[in-house]
Amino acid sequence: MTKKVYRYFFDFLDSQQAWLNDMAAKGWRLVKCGQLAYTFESCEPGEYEYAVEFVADKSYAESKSYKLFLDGLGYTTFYKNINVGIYVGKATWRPWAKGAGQISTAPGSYQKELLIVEKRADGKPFELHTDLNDALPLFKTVRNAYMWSAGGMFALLGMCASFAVFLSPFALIGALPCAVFAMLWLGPVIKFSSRVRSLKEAAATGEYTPEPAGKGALRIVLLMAVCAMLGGSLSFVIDFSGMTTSSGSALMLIENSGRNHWNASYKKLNGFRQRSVTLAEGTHTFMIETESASGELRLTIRGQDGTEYYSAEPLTGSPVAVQIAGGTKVKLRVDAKDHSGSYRITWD
Amino acid sequence: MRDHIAGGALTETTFLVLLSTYTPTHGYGMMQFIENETNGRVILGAGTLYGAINTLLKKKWIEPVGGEVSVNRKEYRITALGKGIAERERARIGRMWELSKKIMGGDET
Repeated sequence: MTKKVYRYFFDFLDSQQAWLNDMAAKGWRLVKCGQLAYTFESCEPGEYEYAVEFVADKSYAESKSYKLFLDGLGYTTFYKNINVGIYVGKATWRPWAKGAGQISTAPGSYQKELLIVEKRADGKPFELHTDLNDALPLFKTVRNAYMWSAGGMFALLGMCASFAVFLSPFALIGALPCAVFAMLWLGPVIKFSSRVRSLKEAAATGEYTPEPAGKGALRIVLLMAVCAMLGGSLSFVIDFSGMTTSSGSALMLIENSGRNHWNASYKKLNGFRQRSVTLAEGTHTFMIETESASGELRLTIRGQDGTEYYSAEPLTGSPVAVQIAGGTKVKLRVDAKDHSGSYRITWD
Repeated sequence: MRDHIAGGALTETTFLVLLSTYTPTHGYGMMQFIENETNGRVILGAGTLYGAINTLLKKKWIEPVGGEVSVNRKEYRITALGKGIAERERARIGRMWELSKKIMGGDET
């Protein structure tokens, strides 16, 4: 009898190992594993035991050699991915790995970051690493891998959050999955940091005392906050004022946007388009021109404090001038309803 | 004689693996040897053993034996350099034993 189970583990070592052993205790033996699918076959409860080994820091040649070694000892081994994805000729950079293992490519070591190792239960505990000098560098690498993942997610989250404030609230949609992944990876970072610290102490005294997991948590959280702020600071580095955000639909739209002008012509426009302009001190004159073949078009110029400098549906071919005192940022916005034509706004 | 920064002491894992290669053996044989000779006190994990074999090969304290049984059951034996290292470790242990006798008293074996 076989069965297929779909699961994903953010804590790809401990949780995955515990689950596989749980299945084995209930009489299910792993026979195949895909990116998310595990195929099991009936067996005697407790007949097999599992351990999950991290090999992502090794080059493909090294991990293959290790796999052969394990097979030679009588174990059954399966390659397993950490992340899920579809790939063709992809290359991944693993900054936390050493040497040739740093670049992972398909069809090489990509999606083969773990080895699931199976042994026949023989009454002895199943531990692949029994020496401190061996376990320490390994868990350090695992911790670093999680840290880069979590840190990266927090940076992305900070970036989305700052986009949401300065650019468009729709950036929050992107921020949500970032926040979820960041939180899910945060747990293992804290856990493995604590384990590495305990191992370092043990290497000195020869005794292993696991630290209470929450101890280093504050430091990790602060590190992640720094990552988020670094990501968020991107908004201050990149000037978004020239970027157009929009919602709606446009047919054959040609747009031109720059320091002193914003214009677009189209066959049909629906919805809104907007961009902001940062004005230096002094008075500025905005020239607004529109062409309307059909439909409605409303133009608005609004200040940072909400002041409405201009809001009207301009007539075709009648340019309008608007004076605005500078030293502030204004938002230019067009709202169109089945409009066909063009608009042109210039300023000094 | 001053020992360098590492103190010159071998880890138990390293010394036990070295001892196991006085007779040419493969990975499984090493695990059995160590478990039996230490009466089950030291049981090497496969990952630890793999790392130890590679380190010892790199340091040239052990060498592969030609004519392997099969591609994944490579055999290894200790080199002359490895034997020298093992002798040094034995002498160090001996000195530590003498010191402990002097301080902690008696010869309770």
